[in-house]
Amino acid sequence: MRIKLFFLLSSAFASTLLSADELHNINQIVGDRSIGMAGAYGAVSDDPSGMVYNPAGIAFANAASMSANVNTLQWSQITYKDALQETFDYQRSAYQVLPNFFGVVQPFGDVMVGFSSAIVDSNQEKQDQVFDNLQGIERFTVNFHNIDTIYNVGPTVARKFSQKLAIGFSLPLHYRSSEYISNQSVVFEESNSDNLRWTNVYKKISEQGVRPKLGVLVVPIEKLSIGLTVDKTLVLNARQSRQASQCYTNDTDIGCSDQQNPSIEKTTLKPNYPIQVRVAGAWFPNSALLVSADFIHNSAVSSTTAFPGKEATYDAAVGLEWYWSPRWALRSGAYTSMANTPELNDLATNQSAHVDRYGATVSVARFSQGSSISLGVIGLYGQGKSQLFGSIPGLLQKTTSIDVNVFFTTSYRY
Amino acid sequence: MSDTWRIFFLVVMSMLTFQCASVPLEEDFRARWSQTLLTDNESANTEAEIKFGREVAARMLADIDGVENFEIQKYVNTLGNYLAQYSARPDLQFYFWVIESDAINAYAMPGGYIFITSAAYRLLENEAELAGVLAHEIAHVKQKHIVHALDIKAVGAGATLTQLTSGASDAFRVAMNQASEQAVALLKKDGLHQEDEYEADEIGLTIMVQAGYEPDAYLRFLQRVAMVSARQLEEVTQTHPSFASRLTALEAVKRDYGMNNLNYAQLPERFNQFKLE
Repeated sequence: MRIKLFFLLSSAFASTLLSADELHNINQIVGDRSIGMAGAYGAVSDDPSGMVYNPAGIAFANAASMSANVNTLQWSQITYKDALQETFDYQRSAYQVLPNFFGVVQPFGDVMVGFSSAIVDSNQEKQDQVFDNLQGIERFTVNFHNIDTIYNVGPTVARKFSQKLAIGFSLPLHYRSSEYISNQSVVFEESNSDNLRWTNVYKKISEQGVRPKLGVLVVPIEKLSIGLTVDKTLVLNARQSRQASQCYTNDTDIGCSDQQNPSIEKTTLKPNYPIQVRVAGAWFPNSALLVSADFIHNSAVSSTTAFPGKEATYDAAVGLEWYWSPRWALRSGAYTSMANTPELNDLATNQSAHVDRYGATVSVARFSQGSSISLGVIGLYGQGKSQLFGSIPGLLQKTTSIDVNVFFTTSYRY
Repeated sequence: MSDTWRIFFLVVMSMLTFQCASVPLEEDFRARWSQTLLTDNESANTEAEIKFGREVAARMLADIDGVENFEIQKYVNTLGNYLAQYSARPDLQFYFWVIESDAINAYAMPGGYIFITSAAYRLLENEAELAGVLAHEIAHVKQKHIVHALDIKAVGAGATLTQLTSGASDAFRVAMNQASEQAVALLKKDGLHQEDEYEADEIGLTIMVQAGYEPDAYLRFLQRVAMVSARQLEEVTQTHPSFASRLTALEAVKRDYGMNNLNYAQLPERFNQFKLE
């Protein structure tokens, strides 16, 4: 028990937590119509949010238009079963308000051009927790601050070669900014020979690059659209710095019995991102109904000395849009967000969490001349395993994640 | 070859095979039901505007004749429709008509019906001046000044222009009559809002320039009109801001839009072929 507690209080505790979100390839769902349809939009894409899902789609936009996620209120919670002293659950939650998409498209001669700004991955945790019911411990305090955001901002151009074929290309800039601060303090009970353990970890990541995205949209038969998108993030510049410090005190030693002074470790090694292939189909039986489905494959990424590898993932999304009048529409969908980490096994150490997630969306849209607003909600549930104390083989925690996003979007054509 | 590239090539080949199949596509199946809001309302509003304009034009012509010169009418119509291309109202068919009147004036009715009086026409010296007058009236139509000035909703106790022109009930038909009477009064007696006239001068000038006509020609015409006898100007001075203030505003528009010294077409020779005796 003491050994497990020791590792719990070390910096390894926080660093293995599920964060935003290198462990999954499907993270933020953005756009106006697309968010309500769970991101099953690769074969629709005929408005500004198409620039994220399939740049070819904007060639089919029938007017200059803009759309935006005015706000998404995102709440997430992850629970590690019996994580503390193998008795108490450890639970963390995060909340953020995130306007995560803005896009505008406009005809320009024979082509449609657009510009979009999307936050494709984001997590903000600002957390302070105090545990005062652990065995042998008077007080365990965790202060945790983590902001990790990936932006894709840039232009798109698309051309319709006929009513049956369009090709589009996006070249957004990739920018990732991450800052991570973890402070943990343990005050032991008087009966314990240890007095205090304090650790501090600070990590900062910055990446700049591009995410070229090629899209094709074809109409093989009337009312059916097929889309294909291929993209890959290429990191051109990366900087990562990390510093950790700690001090443990006990009854016998003067000062820190075990001490790590702050020292900054820096690296400019570039991480590798997977190739993403999105194959999509959409069926438009009439002007009141639309059914779509996307299959998204992310390639495996080999591990390097600086970065862990990623396994290939196969995700899917299905979406539906139904108008019950010209002024009102209902959108809904379901999607997966599979872990890109291997299943955990009892013999290995330092394993990343493996949590497969399943989500559903529903939204209502109200239309007036040339504009629309939508209000909806996304629910995402995941279950899997984590290894919070990485150096103890066989000690795995059943892990459950719940995410709820309330979103408000708008679009306008002019 | 990795799984990713195998999937990619498989899908591309499948898509190209589909693409080769010749499938006629007759309709925009992507259009959603909500888009009908846009087209329905727009077309209904335009239709109502045209109907109302026709009613007002008919009322105007009740006691005024058109100039009986087919060549001149055709010339004015051709020039007017050329200028109307720059009005951003492709939904309207414009009609231009020279009417017999001693008053120096021109009138723009909703829906694209535009009259210029014979007295005003006689005062013109070249095609650019005529273009300036017509462009000013086109600007009134473009901005729907009369419809806004009448505050149609107030006339019909909450009715819209579409309801008025549909003649859905006796009340609406009466309201429609009242509205068209008020429109004629606006055109011949009360005048539009002063700012509408300044706006029409500004937009008209830009239409002229886009069409390739010398903007100074319009200013010269206004200066000439200002010197005509008060009797002929009674109507236009009653319904428009003073010539001096309009000319000052036009000079500012020219300066702001970089329209000075353009040296564009005036075409006096062509205009002289259609002089009104």
